[in-house]
Amino acid sequence: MTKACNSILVVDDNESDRLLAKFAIEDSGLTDNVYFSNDGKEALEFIEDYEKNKSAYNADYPPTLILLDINMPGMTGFEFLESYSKFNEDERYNSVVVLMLTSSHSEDDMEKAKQFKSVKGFLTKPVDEDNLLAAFKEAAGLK
Amino acid sequence: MTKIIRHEISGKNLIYWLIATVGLMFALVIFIFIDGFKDTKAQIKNHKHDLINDDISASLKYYNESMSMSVRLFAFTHEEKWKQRYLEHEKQLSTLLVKVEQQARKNSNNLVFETAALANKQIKNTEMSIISNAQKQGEGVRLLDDEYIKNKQDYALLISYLSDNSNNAIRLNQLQSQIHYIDEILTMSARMAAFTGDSKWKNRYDRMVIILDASIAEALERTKNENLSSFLSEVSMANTQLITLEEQAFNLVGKNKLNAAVNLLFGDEYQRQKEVYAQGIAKFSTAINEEVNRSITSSEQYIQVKAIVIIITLSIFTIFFFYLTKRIKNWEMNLENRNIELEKKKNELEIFSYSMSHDLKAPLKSIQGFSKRIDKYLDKERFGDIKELNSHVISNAVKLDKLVDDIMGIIKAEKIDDLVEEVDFSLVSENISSDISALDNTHNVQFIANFNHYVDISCHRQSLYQILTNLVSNAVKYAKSDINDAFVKLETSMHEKNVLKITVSDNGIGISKEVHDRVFTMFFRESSNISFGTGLGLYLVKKQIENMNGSICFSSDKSGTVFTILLPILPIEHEGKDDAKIKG
Repeated sequence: MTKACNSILVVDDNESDRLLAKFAIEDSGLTDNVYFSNDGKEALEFIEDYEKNKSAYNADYPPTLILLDINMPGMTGFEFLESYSKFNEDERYNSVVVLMLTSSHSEDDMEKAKQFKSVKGFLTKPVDEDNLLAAFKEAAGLK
Repeated sequence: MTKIIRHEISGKNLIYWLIATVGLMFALVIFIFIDGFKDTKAQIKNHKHDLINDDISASLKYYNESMSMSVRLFAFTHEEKWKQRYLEHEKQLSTLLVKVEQQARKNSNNLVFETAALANKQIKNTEMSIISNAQKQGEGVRLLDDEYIKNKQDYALLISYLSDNSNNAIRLNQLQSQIHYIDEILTMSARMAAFTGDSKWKNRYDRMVIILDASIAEALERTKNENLSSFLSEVSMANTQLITLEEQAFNLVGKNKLNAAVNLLFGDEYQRQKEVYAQGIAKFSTAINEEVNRSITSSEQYIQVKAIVIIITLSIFTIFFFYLTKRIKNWEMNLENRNIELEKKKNELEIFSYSMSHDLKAPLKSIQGFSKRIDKYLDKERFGDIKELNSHVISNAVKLDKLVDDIMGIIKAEKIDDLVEEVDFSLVSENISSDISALDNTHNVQFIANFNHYVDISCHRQSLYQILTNLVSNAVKYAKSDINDAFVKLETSMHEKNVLKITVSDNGIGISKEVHDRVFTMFFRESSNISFGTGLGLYLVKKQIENMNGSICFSSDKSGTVFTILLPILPIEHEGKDDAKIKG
């Protein structure tokens, strides 16, 4: 069976949130490949590592859906997006959808996020499982 | 908080002080005005009195002189015009004398007036005998002799006594010169009587004694100063002695003992009394002058002191007024600063509460997520007990979630914005219907919505939705479980122009009378046995309605509860709309 997404990357410093996201993705059956990063830096390293050792990963493509928290220690969501934009030259990254997680409806954050064309949605924390799933399905073009 | 209350009290005191100061200043100004007005009024009255007296006295002198000259001219020329002039002036003089008489009666100077009238009568007799052509041309002039002239002088003196002056010191001075002058007339008249034995001197003497007595009596009455009285008493005593001696002399004249009379009036005793009299008058005169000067100085001083007191008092009041105004300004500024501070603190507290609730939400959602996950993973057969315990975790997490939601709702209700949107009531009822279906015991409660307001409405849509959801879900939660026809009705109608009436009624268990006054208070719950919510629901409802400038009331008994909301709205003219939704 072909999965809707080849893989999903969850970037969040909160372990509980990462775990709940994992449950939701598992339940949804969107993909079997879920990767987790603690912050932006780790996420960037993961993508670079993925490019270097593609064979080690089950999928041909890099994660097509990224759930990205904004406020993280080390590297924030926005800092990650700035570094990540260099991959945009590679057409494989053109279809990547980023869903951002914010702690409140901050106008500033939304305005800032518009600069990045890969950002397609906002979710306000705390997100319950149903809302998260609905957002994933929408991003994967299932809804 | 305590500080602010203290400031308010001190501010109130300042305002009282300011009112008192302005009041006192006003009172002082009124006092100055009334006092000045009284003084001026008295002065005007005195001036008027003096002016009338001066006028009368000048007219009297004028008519006296003109009549006398008219008579003389008539005596010489027998020309009718002088007669006419005389008669005309005589008439005017009579009118004037009526006024003088009134004045004299007022001052109890009747005797003096009568003497003057008598003298006037004598003068008039002489004059009338000339005027009535009793004598041939030129002969009448003989009648206008020395006696006639003396009569005229005496008359003038008597009349001038009657025209007094309002100023005490000036009048005393007048009286003093009169006493001195008349004494001389008396002495000389007595002496002339002694030398000549002529009765006309006795007549003159008698007339003048009256005016002297009156003058001394009046002077005694007018002197309040002991010194002056003692000098006057000396004069009065010497006067009595002199008059006794003079009466003796007149007796001697009567018995034709002219030499004895002359001796008496030129004797040592008479001379001694004359000296005592003269000295008394001199002392009295000096004392009066001093008194006049003193009175002038003291009134000047009084005016100066009064002016100084007024200036100082007004200055103090003015300074105090400005001081108070400044203090009040400071107080107002303080209050304003405190208000700004308070507003800032309130905002901080709101932000804090919001963040606090928000931060509570995140772990709470995690707890709910994990506990649901645990519930899913646990096999009921093997881990029934754990599943049971876990269900408590889930239900408590749901309760806590609702509590945090309500708290956040209250905080949001505090900061309602001006956003008004058109409300689609059918959508509202659909949403409410779906919300309450998620509640536990809704299977047997019928939700009926009936909208009869016939206009499209704009208001705070989100708040209205929350209010109605709260009320309807309350009705569902507290429905009677033992009946089959439990219902909750949501109805609307226009109460008046721009005011929407919404009722939420049910046939539930009702709210007991004892707690009616506490229904809208924070954390109100009727009893822990039959309570489902956080105790914030109705509090939030009331707060939201009040923020929308509306009102809510309810009636409730064992047959059910009716909540009535009156809400100001912006109507949009529209055709009638009737919508009814029924949920089984």
